[in-house]
Amino acid sequence: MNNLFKYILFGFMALIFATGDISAQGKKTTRLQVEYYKNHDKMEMLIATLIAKERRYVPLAGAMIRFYSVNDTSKALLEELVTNDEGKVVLKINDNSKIFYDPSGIMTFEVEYGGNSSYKSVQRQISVKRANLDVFFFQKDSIKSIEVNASEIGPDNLITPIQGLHVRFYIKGTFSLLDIGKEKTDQYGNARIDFPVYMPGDTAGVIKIVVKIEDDDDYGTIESRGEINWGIPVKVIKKERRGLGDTDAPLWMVYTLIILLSAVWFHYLYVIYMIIKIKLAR
Amino acid sequence: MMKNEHTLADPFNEKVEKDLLAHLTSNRRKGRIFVFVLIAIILVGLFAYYRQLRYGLIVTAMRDYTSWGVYIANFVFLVAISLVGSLFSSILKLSKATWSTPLTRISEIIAIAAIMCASIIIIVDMGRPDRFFNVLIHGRIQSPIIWDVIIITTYLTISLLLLYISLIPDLAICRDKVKNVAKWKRWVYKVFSINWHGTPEQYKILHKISFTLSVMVIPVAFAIHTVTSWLFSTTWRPGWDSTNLGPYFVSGALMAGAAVIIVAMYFIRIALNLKEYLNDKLFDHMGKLLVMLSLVYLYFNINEYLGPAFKMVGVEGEHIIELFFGKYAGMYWMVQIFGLILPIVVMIFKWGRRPLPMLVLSFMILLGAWFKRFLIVIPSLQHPYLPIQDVDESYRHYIPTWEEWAITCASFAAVLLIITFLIRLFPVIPIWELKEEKESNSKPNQK
Repeated sequence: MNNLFKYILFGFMALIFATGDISAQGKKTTRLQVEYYKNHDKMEMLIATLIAKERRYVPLAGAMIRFYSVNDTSKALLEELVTNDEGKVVLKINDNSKIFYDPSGIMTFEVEYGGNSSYKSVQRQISVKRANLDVFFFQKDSIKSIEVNASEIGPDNLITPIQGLHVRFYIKGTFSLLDIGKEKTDQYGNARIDFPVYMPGDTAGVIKIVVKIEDDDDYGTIESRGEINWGIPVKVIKKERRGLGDTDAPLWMVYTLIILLSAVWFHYLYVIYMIIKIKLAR
Repeated sequence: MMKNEHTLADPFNEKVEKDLLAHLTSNRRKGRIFVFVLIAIILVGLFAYYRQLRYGLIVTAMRDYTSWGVYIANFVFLVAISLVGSLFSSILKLSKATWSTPLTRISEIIAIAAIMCASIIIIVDMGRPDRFFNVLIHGRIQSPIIWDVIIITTYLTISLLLLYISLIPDLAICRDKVKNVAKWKRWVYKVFSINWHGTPEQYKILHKISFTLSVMVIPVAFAIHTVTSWLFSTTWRPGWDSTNLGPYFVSGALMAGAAVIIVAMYFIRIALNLKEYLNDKLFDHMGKLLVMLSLVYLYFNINEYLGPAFKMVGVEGEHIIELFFGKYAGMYWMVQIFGLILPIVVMIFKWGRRPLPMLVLSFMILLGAWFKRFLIVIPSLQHPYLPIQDVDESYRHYIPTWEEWAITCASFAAVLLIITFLIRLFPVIPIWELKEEKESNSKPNQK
């Protein structure tokens, strides 16, 4: 019984020391999130975010990320970039980038973090098809509408409409996007919603519309924009040059204060003058 | 040189001068102990203020919601009692209430002491007092705070002028009659009596400017407390959104001012042995005046609470419930009953207007007046129009810290110290005015 107890104790202590040793030598887990994004200027980019597990997952800044274009047989390094304070890095894909396409026009990217003595290496692959999103505005009688056309760009720049794609419509505000609806594309790649004519625009009634497909499995995130003067023109309230909330006080207030204070302080000066007269009186 | 009749030898004049100048040469032990105690309280307050400067306003209980604490309540109280100067130097004087003559100088001294300390306490309330001059340099005249800075300066100046003008003939008496005092005191009497010899021309000028200031001080005095009330009524808080606030503050100030005069009278007449001048009849007059002023204040009090209590709308209603039945109910009803209603009832009776009952009642009124300012400031701040969510627990309550109490007590001690200093330096009752009154009373008899 005593021996059994010794073995259990010995085993338990060995486990503690062994675990301690492993944790001391072990590297911290890392995760890589990769997103394909095409903005309204049709600029394509890959956005990678690297996070590492400390007590919780936190952005890993200053890490080298390698971007590759891959296919079944080849792998070409596109660029090496360093993550910022938010653990993010953005690769802009331009015409000079050497991109491999498979026969169906799919681009595959491999994004890799090599790790170091503290952090484990990690890699992710992302495959997307190239697509375009275009915004149009239509008016029929009194009905105004926004239409989006989504089309896929094939291997030989062959354009084909995308059916069944979820498109979101927004109005661009000063600080954020106002969601005004979502629609699925039809067989022609078109999706249409009524224009929100009740919305205020700028002084000319111009409203900026943003349409997006967001984090789609095949196409990633694509954004497009358009603007039209169908909103309600906003009247600019002329700022009072002088008011209670301004740096300069309203003139009536300035004059009132000056008159009242002058009246009172004039009497004070008069009293002081008279005191001098008392001193001089015989 | 033509001498005024006042200076002629007369048993009455000689007695008045002897009685009213006696304390200038005496140096009693009790007086020294009193001054020592006041200085000790002020030193404790200064230490508390050092801690506030060293560690910031975090040493106070003031937080984001209750951002005006006991300091501002105290400031409003001190501004209130400073109004007593205008009550005696102007309102009663212009209405020919000659019984109040012995009280004019006491009231002016109290007014100056109170307004000086009110100005200091507002700087104490500032988190960065070193930036005070920015208020003057970059102040926006749309801001009620700037109105307050302007009007406090204006009121302090007129109070100093009023005190000085009425002092000139008495300073000349001191210059001529008070010899056995410190050299610097004799220098003060000589320089500030500005060659006064009591000629008819000098008296003519003195009466003229005295009248001018008496008229001028009324709007300035009303303005100082009305502007103080506007600090609240222009701020977005329940309980302050009232057009009644201006006259409510002014009437409350006049009541507190009259009460503080009674307390001062009681102690001065004992300490300086002036029972003959600050007599029971004067207490009777003051009692009647205080009843009248308290009734006016009661009227404004009813106006202030009846409307919101009848409607009980939103946060205003919550504020009323907090005062009437909530955590401030005890203080609120004590203030209303013992600080207002009970003194009115007692002082209606002649026995209630004798010195000792008057002293007790005046203390009750003053305590009530101080706590009333506390009730005006704190509960309103604890009910912001924005809902209180996810804030630190300390934001929800306000119990002043020892530093705040120490500084508040030091401000009272400073008021008393200034009053004591001025009383020991100058005749506390205007000698020349008493002589003038005696002469004007005796003239018809002579005819």
